[in-house]
Amino acid sequence: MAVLVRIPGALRQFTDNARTIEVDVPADSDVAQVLAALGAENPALGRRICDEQGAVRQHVNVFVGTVNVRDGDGLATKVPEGAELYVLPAVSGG
Amino acid sequence: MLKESPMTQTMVLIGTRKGLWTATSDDDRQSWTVRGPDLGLNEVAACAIDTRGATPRLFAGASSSHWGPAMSYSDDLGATWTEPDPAPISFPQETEAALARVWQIMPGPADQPDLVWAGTEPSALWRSEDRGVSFRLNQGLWDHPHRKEWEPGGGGQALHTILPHPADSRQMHIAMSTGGVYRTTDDGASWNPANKGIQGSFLPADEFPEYGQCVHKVARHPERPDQLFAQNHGGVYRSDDEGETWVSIADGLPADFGFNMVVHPHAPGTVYVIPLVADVERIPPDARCRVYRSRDAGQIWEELSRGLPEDRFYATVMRDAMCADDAPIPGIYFGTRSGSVFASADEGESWSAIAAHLPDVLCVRAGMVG
Repeated sequence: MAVLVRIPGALRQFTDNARTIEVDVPADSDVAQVLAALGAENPALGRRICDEQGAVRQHVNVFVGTVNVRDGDGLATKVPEGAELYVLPAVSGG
Repeated sequence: MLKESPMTQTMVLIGTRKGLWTATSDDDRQSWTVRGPDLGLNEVAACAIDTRGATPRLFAGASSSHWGPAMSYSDDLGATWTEPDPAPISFPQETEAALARVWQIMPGPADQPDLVWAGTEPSALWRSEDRGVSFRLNQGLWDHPHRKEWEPGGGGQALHTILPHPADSRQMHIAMSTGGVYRTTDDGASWNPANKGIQGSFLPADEFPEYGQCVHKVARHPERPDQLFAQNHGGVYRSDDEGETWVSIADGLPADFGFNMVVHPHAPGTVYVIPLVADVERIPPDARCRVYRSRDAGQIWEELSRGLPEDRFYATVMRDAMCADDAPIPGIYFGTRSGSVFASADEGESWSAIAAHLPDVLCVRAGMVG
């Protein structure tokens, strides 16, 4: 299935300014599989979302639709057919 | 016929909390052009100027609070930066660790122009044999039985100092906060602590432990590889036996706390420090901006102040925010957490500000690039 990943402005330097990227993953995939596919296609983008052990970076939020995966099953959160993945910077910094 | 003078350009890399600046001088460091920021307002805790190849290569370890760390290089003096793919420094899966920050980038000896070392948080040593495009973890240090007892200092658990031996590629010293100084004599296969005589005043049971000290910076001159100088978290030390034993050289300084230790590039035994009052009062003594220099390996210290601010001064200088260039009459540089960079073109005798109002300066490196 195709999953649309929405890219925040700060990371569009790695997507030729594309706001979205479509990745192909098997049906019934979870967030880890979608992010792994994204990272395989675009390593510089992928390592800004997840560290080398696959963990989502502390100040990055990933949503499946309107659900923050940290409030769901984390990286094991399922991505239903037709759902969109949002990558967003957390409100932090200084 | 007049002989044309060789072209000389001095460059200072200035890594800050929010981006990298470059300062360049074409007139023997009398005037400077400052440009930046590069690297997208990321925190630049480590930078290096590698002048060994036909083209100088600049390195920067930059971290975004959101998007993580990255390491980049530039072969056009900072006009463009390349982030290699895959990431140059990446912890193997079996370590279950992830790179938090690059703390040190150290080009290897002149006769091995592709050899580059890096130190990171978590504490690890990395070796590159392709001039910084890819690095391999030093497994001997990673597997060290002391690792579980190394604790992070205020800035994080950092391997911040790498001192390859200038003549023997099997030898090296590294330093960590905390952990202390470690030495290998078998090309990194095994590492032994080298802290005898260095105090760990924050440790309750043993003030002179075998390891665990919070050494802030170590330096040595390539012509005197047996002699090392250390600025500790409380204590300034010298070793004359390759780190086997250390003696205090703090007498004559206004305080023994600080972060910097820089050796004069052409004069073994000449070192520079910037004291701070104490670990619980990290401001310059008497609120005065002063550098201290010893020309005799720490026996006598002299205050250097000409051209430095005379107003009350409260800024600190981070461990890698002081350096020397490699000119015949070397320049000395330091950057402050208040965003100023001061330079001396005469070995510290006189100073001037070459940059101001930057974000807090984390590291500076200087070299002749043209």
